[in-house]
Amino acid sequence: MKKIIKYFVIALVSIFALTSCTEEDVVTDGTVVLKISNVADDAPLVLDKNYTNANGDQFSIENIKYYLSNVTLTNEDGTTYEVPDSYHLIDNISEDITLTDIPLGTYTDISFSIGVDAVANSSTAQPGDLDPSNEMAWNWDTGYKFFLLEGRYISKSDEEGTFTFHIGKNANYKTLKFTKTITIEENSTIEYNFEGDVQAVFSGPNTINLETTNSAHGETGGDIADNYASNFFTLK
Amino acid sequence: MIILGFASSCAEPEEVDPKFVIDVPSHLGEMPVRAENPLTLGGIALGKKLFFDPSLSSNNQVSCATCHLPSLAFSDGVSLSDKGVSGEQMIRNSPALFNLAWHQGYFWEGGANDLASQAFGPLTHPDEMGSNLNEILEKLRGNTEYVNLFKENFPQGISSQSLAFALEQYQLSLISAESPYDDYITGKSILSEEEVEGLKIFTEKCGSCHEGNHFSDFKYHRNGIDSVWNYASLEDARWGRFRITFDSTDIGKYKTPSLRNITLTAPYMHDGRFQNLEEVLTHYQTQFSITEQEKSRIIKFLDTLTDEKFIQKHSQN
Repeated sequence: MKKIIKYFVIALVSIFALTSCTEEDVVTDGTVVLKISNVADDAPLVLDKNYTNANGDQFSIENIKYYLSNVTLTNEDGTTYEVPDSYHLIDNISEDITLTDIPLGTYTDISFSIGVDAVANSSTAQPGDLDPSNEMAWNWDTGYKFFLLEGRYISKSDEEGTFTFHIGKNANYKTLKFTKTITIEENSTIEYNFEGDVQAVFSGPNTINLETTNSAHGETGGDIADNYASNFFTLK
Repeated sequence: MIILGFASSCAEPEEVDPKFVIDVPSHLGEMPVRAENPLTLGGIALGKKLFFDPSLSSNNQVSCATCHLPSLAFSDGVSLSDKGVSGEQMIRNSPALFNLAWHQGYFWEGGANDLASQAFGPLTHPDEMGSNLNEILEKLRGNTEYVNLFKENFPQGISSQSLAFALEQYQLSLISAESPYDDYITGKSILSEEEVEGLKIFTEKCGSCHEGNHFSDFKYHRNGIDSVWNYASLEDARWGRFRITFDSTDIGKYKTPSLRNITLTAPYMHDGRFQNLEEVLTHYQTQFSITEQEKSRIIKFLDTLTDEKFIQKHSQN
């Protein structure tokens, strides 16, 4: 009897060994591309160009960088597909996030977050877009800058200065959800076009007066985070 | 056997040496594990090489060991160092390094969650090693020895992460537990009557924060050395723990340092304001009652926490 069990175990192990080698035969799934464009006044954002915000301050942007993370697709049957290891640093005016191996199916919603989730935000010794050499990590207080916006302003009362928004901390991790039905077929590529409106950082629930709010870091950035959560991205 | 051979033929063989478990005496408690960065002998050795390598700094002259000297239990003997690349004085006393796995946060106010994340601070701070991470990685990639050592010990080769992981492994391997006090507590030898009396007074007066065999609760306390904080920026380092938590009850709090090797790690406090243990205890006399005799007994006892074997082991070569 012992011998039979032994052979059975060997048979099982060899089946496992065989199947573990056949990964290449898996059917290729579809691809999703998130085309991200930063805009202002309904046109691609131009760095160092003067715009006017909701408060009436003139401002120009010198640097804009943010994390978009944890892309999740909701299938029409209600199940979700979470893209693994999904941390994407947007540090250009327009950028494509290409997600491969998406399971075939019809999806009704797409969601993602601005920022880095609490687990990933608890250590900065990480690879890929989370590599601290991207200069989006804090060293003395472990965590990432989720949303970085730096520039110059001339306030309504003609005060000139610079502004620095480095928004991070777990409370400012904001998840956004957009509804659009798409079908991913074998070898197909589906594009989503998202516009990130820089004007929206200064308005929405909270109108930002650059004369009084020109430095926001970590914990003090809640008002700005509420703005980017509510109206920064639009799905075109 | 045939089956084993077959199975391993499709596994990815490129793995680093087996996990290394550091032998820690039981009176320190079980060493917390950093699951993301398991220790290996090769990783520790690479971390040691990096720790002592000044080429990680912008001017190739400052290494981690510039301010963390093995002979001083990895502290530096000055209140506030000015040995970084800028020559500017730091605002913090260099902490001693040993038994670090038990800490819950790194830096005096505990802002860094792990030693790998912590490492990027001194490497890039303009007054410390002043490097840009990409510059460091470029230097390492231009050095064949490092290229091979990284490849052997970390699957991804040279990266910010593996650089920090190696430094973390070396620092986590620094275990100090062979002082006369350790020999006393494990029954290997005895302490003098005065030292035992000092231990008793110490436990009663100081043991609520400097507790247990680590001589620290690894928590954050305001110990009465300052009473006014009014800095313009919320990020000012002089706020202490408040700068991390933004909780007003944390203003002016700093991590309780371990008192192991304390006779080697003067000056004392987060800014090195007290030159010797006498001055430290004179401060604590303003906080609670300690007689002069108790003071001298406590100092006698603290001397038994000096671990010469630890110093010798890490000072060699």
